[in-house]
Amino acid sequence: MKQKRSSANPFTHTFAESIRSTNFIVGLIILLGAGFVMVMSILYTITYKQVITNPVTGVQEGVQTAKDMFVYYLFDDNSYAGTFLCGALILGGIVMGMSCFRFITSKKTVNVYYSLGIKREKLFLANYLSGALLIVVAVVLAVMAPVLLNLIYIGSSIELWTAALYYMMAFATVGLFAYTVTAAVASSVGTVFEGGIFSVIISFLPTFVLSSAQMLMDRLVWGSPFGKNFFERLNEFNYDSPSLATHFSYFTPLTAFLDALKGIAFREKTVDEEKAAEKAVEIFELGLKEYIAVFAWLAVVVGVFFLAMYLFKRRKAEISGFIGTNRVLNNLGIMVVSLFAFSVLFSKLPLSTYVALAFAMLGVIIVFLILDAVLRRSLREFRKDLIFLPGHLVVTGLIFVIFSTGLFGYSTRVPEPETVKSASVSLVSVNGIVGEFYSYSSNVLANPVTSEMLSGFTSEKDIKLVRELHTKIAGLGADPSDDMWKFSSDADSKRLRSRVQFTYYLKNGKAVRRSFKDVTADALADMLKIYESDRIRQLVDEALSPDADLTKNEKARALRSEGSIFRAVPGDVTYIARLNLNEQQRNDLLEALRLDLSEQTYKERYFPEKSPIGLISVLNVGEPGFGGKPIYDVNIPSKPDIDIGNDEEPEIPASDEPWDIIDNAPTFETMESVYGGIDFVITEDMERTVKFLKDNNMFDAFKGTEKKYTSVNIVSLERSHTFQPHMLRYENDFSYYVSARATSKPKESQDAFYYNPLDNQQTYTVTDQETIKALKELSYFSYYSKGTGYAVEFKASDDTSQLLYIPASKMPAALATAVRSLDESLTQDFRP
Amino acid sequence: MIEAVSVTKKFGDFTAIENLSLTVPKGSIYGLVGYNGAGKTTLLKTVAGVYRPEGGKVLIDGEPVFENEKKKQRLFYVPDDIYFKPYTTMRKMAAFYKGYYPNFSYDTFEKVTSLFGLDPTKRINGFSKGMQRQAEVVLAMSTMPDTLLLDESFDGLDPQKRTVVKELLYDYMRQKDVAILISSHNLHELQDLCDYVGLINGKRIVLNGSVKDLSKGKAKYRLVFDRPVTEQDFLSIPHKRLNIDGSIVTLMALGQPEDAYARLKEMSPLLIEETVLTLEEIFLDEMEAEGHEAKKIFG
Repeated sequence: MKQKRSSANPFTHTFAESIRSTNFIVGLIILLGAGFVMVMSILYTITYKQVITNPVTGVQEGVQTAKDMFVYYLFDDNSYAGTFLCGALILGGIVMGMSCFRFITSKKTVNVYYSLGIKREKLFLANYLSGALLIVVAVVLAVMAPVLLNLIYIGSSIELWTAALYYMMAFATVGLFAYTVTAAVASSVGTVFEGGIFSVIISFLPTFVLSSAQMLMDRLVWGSPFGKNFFERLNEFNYDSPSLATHFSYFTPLTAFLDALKGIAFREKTVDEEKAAEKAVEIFELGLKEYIAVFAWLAVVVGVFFLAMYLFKRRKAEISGFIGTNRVLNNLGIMVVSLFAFSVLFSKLPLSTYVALAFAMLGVIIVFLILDAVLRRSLREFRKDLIFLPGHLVVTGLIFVIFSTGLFGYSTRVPEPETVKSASVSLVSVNGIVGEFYSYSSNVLANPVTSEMLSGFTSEKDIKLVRELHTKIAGLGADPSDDMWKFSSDADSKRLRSRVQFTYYLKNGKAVRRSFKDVTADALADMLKIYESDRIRQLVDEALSPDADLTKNEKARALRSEGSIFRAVPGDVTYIARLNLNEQQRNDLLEALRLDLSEQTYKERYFPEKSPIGLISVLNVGEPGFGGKPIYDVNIPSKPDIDIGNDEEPEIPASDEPWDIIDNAPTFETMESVYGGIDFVITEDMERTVKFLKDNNMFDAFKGTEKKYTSVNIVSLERSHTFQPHMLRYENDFSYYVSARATSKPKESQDAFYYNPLDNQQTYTVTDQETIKALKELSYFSYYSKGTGYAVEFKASDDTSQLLYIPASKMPAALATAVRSLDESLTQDFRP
Repeated sequence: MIEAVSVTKKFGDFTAIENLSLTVPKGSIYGLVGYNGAGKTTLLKTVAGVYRPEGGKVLIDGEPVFENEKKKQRLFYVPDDIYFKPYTTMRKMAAFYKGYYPNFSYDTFEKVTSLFGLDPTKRINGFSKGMQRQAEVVLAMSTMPDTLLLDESFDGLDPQKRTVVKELLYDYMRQKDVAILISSHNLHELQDLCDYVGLINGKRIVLNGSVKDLSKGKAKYRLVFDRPVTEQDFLSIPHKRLNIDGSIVTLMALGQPEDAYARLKEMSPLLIEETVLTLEEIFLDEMEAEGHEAKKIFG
C-alpha cells in the first residue's frame, strides 16, 4: 500500500477538530434558540393582516399589513425578550467556553494535548477561534431569520440592515464576552464544575455587585435615589426610575445594549407628514454612543482574551481534574456570592439595623462554609481555608460601614443654589388646583393619596425653600428603629410611612435626585410650606386668573365651562348644596378665590385654628347628557360614577335661589375630589371669598344642619387599621391630610344595608349629649393629621352619620386617655 | 537521545521526583521500574512535555522538550490512562493524530492494526481494555516517532500480545534508531527487552545502567551432583544466593564468569549449566549492595 504522508498543520488541524466536535452542537443550539426567540417575537405582527372596513358603510376597503405599518420589524421586546436573549447569550457563551476548553480539565485529555507538537499558545488560539467563530455565525444567522421575514413581508431598507447589523454586533459581543471570560476561567481551574460556576459569577459580576449595592443603599444610604420611582411627569407616561443597574447599564454585559436594541427593534411608518415630524423626535437613532458601547465591550473582550491566553500558557497540567486549586477564584467567587447574600438578608429582614446586620453576617458565614466545602471537597483544604473567613467578614463589614456613612455624605449633599436651574419636589398633600390625587374607600376618613412631584420651582425664593426642606430631611438620617409601628409619645418625631423626593435640574444639564423614605411627621408637615412657594402661587393664578389660557389650562377650562356646577359642602357634611351662579358671579368668586389662595399660608390651610367653613367643589359636567355644553374638549380625569345621593337618578333642577340643597343625605367616600371635581377648602382667613359668599347670600349654604346625635364613635388614627399607611398600595402613595366623610341609609329602602366607615373598627363610644356637643365643637372638616388625631363619627337619629376629625392636641385629656387605653389593650404594634 | 538532567517536579508541597537524571541513548530501550507511586509517570510526563519541571531540564537530542513543537512532533507518549475521543474509531483517531505528526504513516497503521487483529472501523469504547492498549500502540507506531514513551503499556495485555508488542518495539527501535522509554512496576515485563534499566526509589534514580553492565561480574549456574553437597563445599567460590535442593544446586557466582566456571567444574558436578540472570535477580543483588531492602521496594 502506498505510504500516505501527512502534511501536518497542527494549528489548522486543531481549529478544524474543534469546529467538528460537540462545540458545533453548542453553536447550533445558540443559533436555534436565539433565532427562535427573535422570530417568535415578531411572527404574529409581521404576518398580521387587518381588514379595513368603512365604519359608516361597513364595506371592506382594503387590507392593512405589516408593510403598511412598518419600515421594518426586527424584534419585539415588550416582554423582556431582549433581556432574556442577552442572558441566554451569556449562558450560551459560557457553555461554548466550557465545551471548547473542556479538554484541559481532564487528566486524560491533558496527557494527549499537552504532549502534542503544538505550542500551548497556538492550542489555545485555535480552540478559542473555533468557539468564537461558532458564536458569531450563530448570532448572525439567528438575526438573519427575522431579517428574512422582513424581506418577505415588508421589504428591504437601509434602516433594516443597519438595525440588523447592530443586533448582530451587540449579541455577538455579549456572547463573546461570556465566552472569553470562560476561556480565562477554564485556564485557571481544574474542573468543568468550577469553570461553570466561576464563569457565571464573573460574567454576571456587575449585576451581582450593582444589585448588592442597590439593596444596601436602599437600607443604609439616606436619600439614595437609585431604584426609586421619581414621579416626575416628564411627559404623561414617563416616570423616571433610575435604578443603580440602569445608571450603570453600560457596565453590565446583560444590559449594556438593551436600550439601543429596544430603540431600534422596529420602525413604524407614518403616512401623515405632520405626525411624521412629531414622531421623528421620538425615533431612536443609533449614534456614536451606541457604537462606542459595542467597541468598548469588544475591547474588553480582547483584553480578557490576552489574559486568558497568558493564563493558559502558564497553566499547570497537574491541576486538571482537581477541584479547588485556584484559591484566588475560590475566594473571589465566595466573596461575591456571600456579599450578595448579605445584601439580600440585610435589606429584606424586617429587623432593626444591628439585628439584621448580625443575621446577615451569619448568612455570610454559612455561604462561605457551604461554598468552600463544595468547591474544595477536601476536609483538610476546607480547614485550611477557614483562615480566610475572618477576611471575608472584615471586607463585608467595611462595605457595610462605607454604606452606613451614606457613602461619605454623598446622599446628604445639597447642590449650591447658584448651580440650580430648577427643582421638583414631592407633594405631600393637595390643594385643589395643585396635585392629582385619589383615595381609598376603605379609609376611615377621606385620605387622598398623592404620588406626584411638582416641577418648575425656579425662583430664588423657591430654590432656597426647597434646599431648606431638603437639608432638614437629609439631616434626619435613616431611622434604625422600628418605632413607626408602635404608639408614640412624641408625635412630631415619629417616622411616618412616606417617600419625599427632590430633584435639582442643574445649569450644567445634569439632574441630582434624592429620595427619602419614612421621614418624621414634623418634616412632612414642613413640606407643606411649598404651598406658599412662587410656583404654587403661579399655578393657582394660571387656573383662576380671568386671563387664563383656556386652550392650555385644563383646570381653568373646567372652572369656566358653561356646564360647571359649583357645589357647597358645609363643614359638618350634612348635605351638598349647589351655588346658583351667573357668569359674573362665577368670575367674581374665582377671582376672590385666586386672591385668597395667593396669600394663604400653609398653616391657615392645613392647621387652621377653627374648622374650615366648608368646601366649594366645582364639577365640570360638560359631557353630553348632563345638560352642560363644553366650551372646549375637556379631558376630565377618571372619576367615580356620579352618585348624587343614594343611587337615585342624577337630577339638577334649575333654581332662582342663590343656593339650594341638592342632597340632604349624602353618601360620599371622598371629600376632596368629591364626584371628581375641583375642590376649594374655605377657611375663615379667606376673607374675600367669605365676603363674596355673604354678599351674594350664599354663605348660609355652609351653615350645615343641626342634628340629633345618638352617639359618637371615636378611633385614634394611629391605631385604626384602615388608616394605617401600610394599607396604602405603594410606598410613594401617602398623605396625612384628612377630610370628612358622610354616609346615609339608601332612600329606596330603609332596610337596605349600608356601610359606616367605623363599622369594622373597635371604637370608643360616647353617648353623653354634653360630651357629644363638646366634641362637635372641637371637630374639623379637614386637617393635616401628621398621623395622629381621632376620627369621630357622629351618628344621627335620621340614619346619617358624619365622620369628622379632631386633632390630638384638641381632644379632652380624659377622652384621650380612655381611647389610648382601649388602643393599648387591642394592640401594641401596628406592624403589617 | 533523551536526557533528564537533575529534574525536580513538585505538586504543591509534595515533591514527586527530585534531582533525577537519566539518559536514554538513541537506538535503545530504557526500562524504568519502581513501585506504585514512585514517580515513573511523573518523569514520563515531564519528558513528554506535559509537566514543566520546577528544577532541571529535559532534553531530546540536545534541545529542551517543553513547548518545543518540532521535537514533540517526533515524540509520542502512550499514557497509563489512555484517552480516545468519545465514540471514535481507530480510523478517526488516526486522522486526529495525522494532523499533528508530519511522519504519520497510514501504511504502518494498516499493517500494525492487522497484526493485532483489530477492526479500525469499530468504536474503540467497545474494545476491551487490552484491545484499547493495542490500539494505542498501533497509533503510537503509526506516528513514526523518534522518541517513544510508554507508561505501563503492558497492563491488560495477554502474554501473546505482550510478546508481539515487545517484538514490535524492538524491531522498530533497531530499524529507526529511536529512543524508547518504558515504565513498569513489573521487572518481568521488561525482561529481554530493555537495554537499560533504571530504578526509581525515594524520588530519585537509585540504580541506573545497561543490563549488560549491571550483570557484569555475575553469573548464575545450575549444578547437579551425584552426591549430597553442603555450603561448606562452596566456601572457596565467591557466590550469592546459594540454593541446595538435594543434589541440585543453584547459585550466583561472583567475579569473572570464566573463573567461576572453572572452579565449579573442579567440583565434578554431573551437570553444570549457566543460566541468564533475570532483571529481578540483578536488581535484588544491586539493591542489597546499595543497602536497600528489596522487600520494601518490591513488596
